[in-house]
Amino acid sequence: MRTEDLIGALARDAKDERRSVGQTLAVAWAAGIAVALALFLFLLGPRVDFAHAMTTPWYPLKLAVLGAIAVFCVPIAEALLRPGARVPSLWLVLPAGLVALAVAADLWALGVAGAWTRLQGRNGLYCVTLVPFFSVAPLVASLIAMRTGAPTSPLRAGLVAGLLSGAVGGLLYGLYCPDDSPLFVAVWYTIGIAVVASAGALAGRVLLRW
Amino acid sequence: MPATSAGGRSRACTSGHSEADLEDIVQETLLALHLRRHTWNGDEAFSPWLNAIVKYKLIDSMRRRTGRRWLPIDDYVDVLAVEEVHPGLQSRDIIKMAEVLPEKQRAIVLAIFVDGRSTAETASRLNMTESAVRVALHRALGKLAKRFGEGT
Repeated sequence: MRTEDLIGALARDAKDERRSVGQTLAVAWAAGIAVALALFLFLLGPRVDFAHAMTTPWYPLKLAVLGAIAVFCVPIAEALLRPGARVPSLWLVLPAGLVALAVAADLWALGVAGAWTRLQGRNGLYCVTLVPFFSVAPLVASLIAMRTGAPTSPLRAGLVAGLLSGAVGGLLYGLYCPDDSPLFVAVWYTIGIAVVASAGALAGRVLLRW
Repeated sequence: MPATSAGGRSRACTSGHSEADLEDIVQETLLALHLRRHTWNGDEAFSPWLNAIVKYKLIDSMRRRTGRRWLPIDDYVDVLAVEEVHPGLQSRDIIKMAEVLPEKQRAIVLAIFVDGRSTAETASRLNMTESAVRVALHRALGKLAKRFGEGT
């Protein structure tokens, strides 16, 4: 086909206006998170002493950090779908720094002596399996929505989709998980989320090419 | 649009693509720009968006085309020698060998080597230009040589 003909055909086709990537992503995330939340409420539900736990320092902090990761990933994911857009990835330093501070505070307050026990917690293995489990629906929804965008780095876009979904899965599981020690959170939740992020990156490399 | 196509060309030229490849890349890029036009947010500068897509598409096509360099055969139509057919080859051998060719190429090979027509005659019989006949013949012979090897 001659290029002039192509341009003509494209110009004739230029009428319909599709939704912006942000809107598509918002719909997909709402759906994915709703599915994950339903699964969570059906299978686990928040822990029994929820009201009491909210008054302790570490339980709300854990939820805040996971929520912050998910929230900061939103504009990053959206920007990665728009070629040439500035990607606000530095915001992620905030939750990471918060975890580091909490770990330092924990070690300072409770000492290094029992650190190994606090790190192991009670539910490490549940954590690394259930975090990815509750991340599946958001991850699938994100990847489907991201295919309508134009990620110039499919791997990074998939990685951020995985990070966001992992944080959502972590937040849900975290509502149930009785282990709140920053040491436990820094190790086991990180592993769980890293699994999802890697899966997202690998899937993105294949599925998000255009 | 012409600006894009010029920009794409100048970038691609330096990376050793043939003219036909360039045209393909330009078209792929235009198509991508069209299909992903909703990813440009009207409040932002246009050129970073445009350049990012051109770059992505160019890298993408370079990856897919690595190791392949095509030269347009049309430029060499008149200097390409039509190879001598093996003198010992009988008509029925040629007919048999020509079966592996696509219809059009087979018709040309048979017309020239079995019926002994000239390229001009063949062209007018098949409603093609003489150059097109030569190109098709050249490709057909290449195919046969690859398939049956030297001296068969």
